[in-house]
Amino acid sequence: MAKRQTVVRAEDSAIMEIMKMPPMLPPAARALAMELVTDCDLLRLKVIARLHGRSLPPDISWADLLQEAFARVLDGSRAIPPDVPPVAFLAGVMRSIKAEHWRRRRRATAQQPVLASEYQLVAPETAEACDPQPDPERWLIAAQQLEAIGTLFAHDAMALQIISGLGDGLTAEEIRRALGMSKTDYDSARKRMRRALIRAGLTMGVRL
Amino acid sequence: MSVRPDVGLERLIHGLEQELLEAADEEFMAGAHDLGMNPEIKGSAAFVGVKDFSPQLLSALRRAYQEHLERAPRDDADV
Repeated sequence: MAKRQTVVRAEDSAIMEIMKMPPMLPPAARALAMELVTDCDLLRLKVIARLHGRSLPPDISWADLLQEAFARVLDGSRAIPPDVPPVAFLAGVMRSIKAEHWRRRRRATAQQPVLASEYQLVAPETAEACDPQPDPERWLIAAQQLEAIGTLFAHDAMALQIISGLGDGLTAEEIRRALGMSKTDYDSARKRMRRALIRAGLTMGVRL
Repeated sequence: MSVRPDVGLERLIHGLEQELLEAADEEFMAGAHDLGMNPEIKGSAAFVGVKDFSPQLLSALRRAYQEHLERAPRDDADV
């Protein structure tokens, strides 16, 4: 009896090669499997990533930012110091990647001459994240996102005041004192703010 | 807000990030449950974009795979 021959088409063999590979997991899922983070940490980081997503260049998504931060930690290019919680460290890595994207974009884009010298006055805490000479696109995105964040808290006058204070670079305690709020009122306003942020951050959809 | 928008936004994000870092785990679980999501179950919508690849990345992978197929020598006589 003639031996039965198996015909394998090139497409099938390529698919079979892929099937032999270990399952591909995104970096965040790998970090979870390695117990670097918990499920709840991932939820927290998702909400933080979506928050940072509000000031990313338009071609980068919050998910890219989050996965890139995990990838850098997993490949060892960013090592978590022993005394820093992984979630806080990953949030810092996201911040730094975001600043890199804007710097790269700024280099790639021909910049207009400086519009006004006062734009070079940048607070030290934002010096890394913001360019001394903002590009108009970034300015516009920021204005739209400030409005969008304001809309999130439109029905909460106290939260809006806190947001305004945070935008002015005040600390929580400075805002509380400036607004003359009791600690209880202030804490409950912060709790409402966090709830709104968490709901917005966990809502379906990859882009905000 | 008395600063230019990009500086104000970064400061605001920084302040809100601190709020989120200080929030209790239960607040995130409660937020997910409020939205009808159950993070305890496998494949929960709460983890879209986190435990799976983003649509942008999936599309890039599909393109790369298609290019791989086009580059690979066809070997229909593979017996």
